[in-house]
Amino acid sequence: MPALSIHNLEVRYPGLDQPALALEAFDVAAGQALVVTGPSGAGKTTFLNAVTGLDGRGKGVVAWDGVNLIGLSETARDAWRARHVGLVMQNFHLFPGLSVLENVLLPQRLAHRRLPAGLRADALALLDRVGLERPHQRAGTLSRGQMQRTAVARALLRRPGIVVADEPTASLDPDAGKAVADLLIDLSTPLGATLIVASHDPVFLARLPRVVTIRAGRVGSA
Amino acid sequence: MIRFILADLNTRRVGALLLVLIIALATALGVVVTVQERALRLGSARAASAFDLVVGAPGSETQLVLSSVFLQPAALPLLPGSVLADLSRDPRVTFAAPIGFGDFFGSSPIVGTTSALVHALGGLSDGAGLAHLDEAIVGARVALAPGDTLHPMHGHVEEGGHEHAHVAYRVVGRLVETGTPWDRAILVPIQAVWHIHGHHAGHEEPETGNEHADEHTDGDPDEALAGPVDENAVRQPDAPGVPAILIKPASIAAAYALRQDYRTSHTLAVFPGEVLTRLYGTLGDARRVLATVAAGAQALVGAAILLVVMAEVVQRRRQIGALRAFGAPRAVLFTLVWLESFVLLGLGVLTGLGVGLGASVVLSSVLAGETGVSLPVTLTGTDAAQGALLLGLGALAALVPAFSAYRQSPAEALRD
Repeated sequence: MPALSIHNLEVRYPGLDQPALALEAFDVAAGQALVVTGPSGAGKTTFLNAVTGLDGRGKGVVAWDGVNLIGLSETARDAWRARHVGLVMQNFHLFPGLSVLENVLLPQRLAHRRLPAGLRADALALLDRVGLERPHQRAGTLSRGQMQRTAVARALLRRPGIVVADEPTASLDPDAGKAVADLLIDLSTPLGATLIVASHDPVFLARLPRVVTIRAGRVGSA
Repeated sequence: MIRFILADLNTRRVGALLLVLIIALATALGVVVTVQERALRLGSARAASAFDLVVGAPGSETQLVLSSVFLQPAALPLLPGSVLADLSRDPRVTFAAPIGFGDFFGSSPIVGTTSALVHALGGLSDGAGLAHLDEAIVGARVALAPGDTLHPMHGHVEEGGHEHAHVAYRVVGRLVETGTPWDRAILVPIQAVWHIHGHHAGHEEPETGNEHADEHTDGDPDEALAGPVDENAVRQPDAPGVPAILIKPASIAAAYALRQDYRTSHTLAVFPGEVLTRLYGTLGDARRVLATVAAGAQALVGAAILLVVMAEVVQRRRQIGALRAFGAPRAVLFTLVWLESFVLLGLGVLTGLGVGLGASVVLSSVLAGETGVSLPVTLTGTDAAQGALLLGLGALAALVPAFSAYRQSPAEALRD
């Protein structure tokens, strides 16, 4: 499982005097789980974009097992992310016209000429595990909690070494949010994945061993 | 991927359908302009093919051709009978057939002529030629059969013509189908027409093809048509006049010489092909204007569609960016958006080709019903090339939204 090592990272956006994110040294051990909190606009999303390679701008080193994402091309970052990262976003980004199963498989369908053997069975098993009993139901007809559980299944399908979630429970009611948070932790742990969650949800704060607060683009305490 | 495209198109089927429809209509417009102009050219050229040289009284060349070749009713002045007599004896002439009109049966013009014209039109498919004055040969699309009897009307019935009640023709033969207005004509001996309209040898009154409900009186209304056809009657210098004469020259040189000789102060000789070529020139100009308009419309539609597709890409950038974030390669997304745009364009163009051809066939058959000129809807290699060009342009245009999707940053797309 990859470990994260950040040195002298500085991300600036045009028109702003202060850097959106400035980290001199920040490390996450392989398989560690942590929650990132902080006021909105403090740099959480910038941090997640940097560590997932969604955004390659900035100076410094954001290295997973020695691979510095800052130096990579967009295509290379895409390929690296596809191989190592499972993403769960606050908004589920499902295709309402496709079924639950198709949504889970879609990124893999698009990434491979033929769907890798066994992936469909894996997806069905995963959907069963997250409690979605009707894999052929159209995603547009799901409840929000079910949608996010579909998104969790999609993120974990390729057994990623890194799982990153951005406010995964913020748009859900407390019960559905707790179910999703528990699933995310319970399914990532057996994979041995490094788990990074940006959230204020007490479930994550209670269950994850490390809490990182980002204020004004800088890491507060651990 | 195909499954995904179909599912995606299905979720926005109304918009997609409208896009396809607009593209189809724009394409159909271009197809109809091209195909119909070609059909008109082919159809009228075919109609004129039997008419090498036409002689009439001085007046409009175009009207002479329209009236003689296309049987369009019009008030043509008459040629003196001596002209037909002279032409009949001219060694440069294989045959000279009079074309005398004025009477109708229903909407079918009744044309007085000689057996030479029957041959010129391709001969008979059924029955026999004109042997007696009260006999008639019908065109292929006239709803009469050999054995039927018909009473001619002077002028169109709906325009207040009157019936020659005492005159009756007996149908004895049917012309082969020609795909020309002559399919609706009824041929009778020219002498019979002269007789009915009171033209007797030696005296002439101005007779025109299109005068209706006039004070015109029949020659001998009680006198029925009788007696054998005398083909030599047209060779008499004192024969009555005719509005037009169809001439089959013995050679090309003879044709030009005859045209030269009969372009005088009291006769007019035209090559219908030449007159039609001039008309096509005008028609061609009109077609170019129409084609330019159609192309402009297509370009506008193309631009509008690109705009719509672009707006859609912008609107769907979250979806596209999210797919990248979740592991779909950007090249695949590029292909996806390109394919989807191209499928819409291609469907539209193909539908438009079908609709355009269908509309042309319908239009042709309506026009054929009205004019009798069969307008063949044909496709050429150029059409295929143009269709391919249109699809190629569509493929290129579809690159624009595809490229925009390719450049979509996943981080920005996910930011809400």
